[in-house]
Amino acid sequence: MTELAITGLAKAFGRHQVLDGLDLDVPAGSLTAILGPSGSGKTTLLRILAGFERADAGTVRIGTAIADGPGTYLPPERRRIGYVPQEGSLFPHLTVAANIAFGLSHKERRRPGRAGQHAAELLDAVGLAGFAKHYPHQLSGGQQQRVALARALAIKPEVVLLDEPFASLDAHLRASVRADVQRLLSEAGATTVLVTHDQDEALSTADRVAVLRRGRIAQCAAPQQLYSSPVDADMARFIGDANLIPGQLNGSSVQTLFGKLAVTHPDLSVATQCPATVLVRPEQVELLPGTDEMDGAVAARVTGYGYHGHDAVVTVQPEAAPPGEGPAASPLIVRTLGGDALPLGAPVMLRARGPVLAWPDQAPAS
Amino acid sequence: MTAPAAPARPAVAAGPAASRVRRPARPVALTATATVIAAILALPLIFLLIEASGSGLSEDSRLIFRELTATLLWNTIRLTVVVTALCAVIGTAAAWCVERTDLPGRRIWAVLVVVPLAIPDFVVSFGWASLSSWIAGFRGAVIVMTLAVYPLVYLPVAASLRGADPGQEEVARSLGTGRVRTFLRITLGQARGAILGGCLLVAMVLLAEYGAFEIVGYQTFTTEIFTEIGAAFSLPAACALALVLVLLSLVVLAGEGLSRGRGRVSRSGPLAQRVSPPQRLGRARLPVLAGFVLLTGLALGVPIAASVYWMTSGVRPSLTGVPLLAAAGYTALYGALAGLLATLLALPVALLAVRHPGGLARRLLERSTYLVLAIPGVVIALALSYFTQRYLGGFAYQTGPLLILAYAIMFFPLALVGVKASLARAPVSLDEVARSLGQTRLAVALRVTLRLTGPGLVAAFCLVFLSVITELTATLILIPIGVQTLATQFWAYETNLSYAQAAPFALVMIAVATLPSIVLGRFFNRSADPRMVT
Repeated sequence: MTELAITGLAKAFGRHQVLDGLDLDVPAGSLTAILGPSGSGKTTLLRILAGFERADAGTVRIGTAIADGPGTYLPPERRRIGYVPQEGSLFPHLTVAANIAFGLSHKERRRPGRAGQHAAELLDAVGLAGFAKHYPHQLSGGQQQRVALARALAIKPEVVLLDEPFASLDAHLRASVRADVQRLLSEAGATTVLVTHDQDEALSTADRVAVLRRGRIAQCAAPQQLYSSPVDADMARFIGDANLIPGQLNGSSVQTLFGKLAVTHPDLSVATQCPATVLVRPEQVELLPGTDEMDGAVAARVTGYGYHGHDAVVTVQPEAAPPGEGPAASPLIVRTLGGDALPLGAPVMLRARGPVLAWPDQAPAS
Repeated sequence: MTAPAAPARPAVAAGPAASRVRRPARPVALTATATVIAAILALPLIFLLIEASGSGLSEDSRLIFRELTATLLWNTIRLTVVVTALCAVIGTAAAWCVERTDLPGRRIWAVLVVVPLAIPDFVVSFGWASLSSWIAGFRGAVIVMTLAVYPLVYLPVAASLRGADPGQEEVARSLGTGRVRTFLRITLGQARGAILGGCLLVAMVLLAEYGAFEIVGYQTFTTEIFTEIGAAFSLPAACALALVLVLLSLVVLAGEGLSRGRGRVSRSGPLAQRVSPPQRLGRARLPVLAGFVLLTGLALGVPIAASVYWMTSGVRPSLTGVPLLAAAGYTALYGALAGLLATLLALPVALLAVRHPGGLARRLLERSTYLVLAIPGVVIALALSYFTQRYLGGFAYQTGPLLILAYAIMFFPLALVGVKASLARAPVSLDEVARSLGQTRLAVALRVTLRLTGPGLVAAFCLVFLSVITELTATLILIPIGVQTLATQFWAYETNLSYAQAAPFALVMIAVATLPSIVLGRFFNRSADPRMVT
């Protein structure tokens, strides 16, 4: 089992600083997803890990070996890293079996029995038994992706890198390929880094998710933790749907338009009241039809309704201004469990459940 | 954005600020090599400029503005216009019939219609002119050249019709446009770029042709340049004429570029290959079929039949076996070496274009090598002999290596097209994957890059090889003394009116050039298959 340690990694293309002092530890045997929008430098990071690109500064350590650092550089062929590129990049002139055996040594390939058996086992594992003699162009996108994974695993790598592995697959294929990949990687015991711009994919596939922002890792945590405790409001918006409403923080509670709500991580250093941004996830808001006044309930009107079968996402516009001064409340997103369709403009009452996350608003820095 | 935590090393040379630049570092060695190659290719142009400025403006203008030039200009232009127009009509019509109608035997016609391209123009000319003295002058030149080069229009148009979106024609019909008007407005519109490209090639061939015109006795710039250096030994006069000829070629090249830039053929929707159902010829079927029989009969049958006729019925040649073998040997040797050299020269330029795109300077560098297209073989030969005599004291003049270099320069654009196509089949990502699988650079080159590009490189080599076999103009100027190739030996017999002895050489050239062309044609058709590119 090998861990990856990345410290102070920097890389620029021309004047464009893509990676800017990035630190990341990937524990041995984990599946870590690097999540970031297109152009955030995910692929560059992966290519530096694989050795296709050299960092301008910083170090990459694979296990005990420094792969990239001041004065040291390990070429890709000596890193024992299984790399699965976005398009699969199978060798078009080789059969599936020959593609998988490509990374084996000359001696291993020469012993047809063993190499063939090894390839057959891997093909079986990725669910493509019987495709050994096929050529890449005879396979579908999902099948090509699986062969590419088998090819990377054939060299028994200690680290596997996946570049947007499911992006080119149809939605209905994605789930099954993803499950196969997860199973194979955990069986192989390899340390895996997966790069994606799809947060659903990152949250559902990985043990740990590292969010790449402005050339650095903004937060790295387990998926549940990332969703429940984002480091800041931007992160809250990036991971899942978020209602960010103003409030007055007061020790262990916060005063919002929903009344007083408990705070998840009370910050006792904030002694007196201070303005804060409060995160209320859509599923923390309860939607009650009708207009009956209730304690802590806010009157609102439905402005949008999206039905998804298992649940529905309702956009509502609160009617009451938030307690105290401040601008008119912005629209909120509410997640409900299916139920009856709500006509646009229907009056509803909203109630929020705590505890919630709140960040004191920083006084504008001088 | 905060300052980097670690002191960043100075960023690599400023490249485009795209976030996915694969290779940010400038390929210095590659660019330098490509620049040297571009300079070698520019030698003929440099030579013309030196010569023009050396003899002075007044001398140049005296040589250029004389009555002879006017005659040559009129001859060259009227022939180019008439033959190009005829080729456009014949080539496009034949391509449409083969690709889009229910013409019987389409697959056979598709091959037969292209074969005349492999027959050297001067052999076609010989075949026709040896039959009747009626085939002479302007009339003869038009007939011979049209039959020899119309496939240059047919090939690109057929390819474009094959790849065109049938949906556009269907939409036009559903909007109430008739069959004929749909053909004129949509089908021809889609094939326009291909037709123009084919016409450009035809015009270039016509400007550079020597042998065919000499046989039918038609005077153009190229034949006159030959007369000036061969009979009058007047280099300045030859150069002045060459200057006008190159300017003419550049005008054609620029004109084609301009007219192409005005309209883009786009294919709407996904690239799903849907083939339109063939148009029914109906009552036109027999006349069209007869047209194809006539066309291939005239273009293919006449030259071959004439050669066979002269070989069998003429005075029995006393001794052709030995010179035939020797000439074939030299032809193969020169062709192979020139093919090798042209492919090697094309590699750095193609690598730069395919793997390091972007950068105006680099694009211009690649584009500039296409200028060779506008320079007739006679000018290239002239330039090389000028440089060797002027700066090397005659060293290397009329030697094998110089001739091979001339071939490599002449046919560089052919090699470049082939090499670029082959490199596109081996994307960098495959190299990277192979290296991450533990392979060294050398192993990757052998096991991946070479395996993928190999067929394309061989095709590029073959294209040049075939062109060399049938090259006459530059060969006549630069061939080492005492050596004969198939083309020059044929030429020697032909000019002596020893048709019986010339004929076997013609037939060997036809045989050697035709069979590989068919194989090559199949290769390039296959490479259009999108699945092979992934």
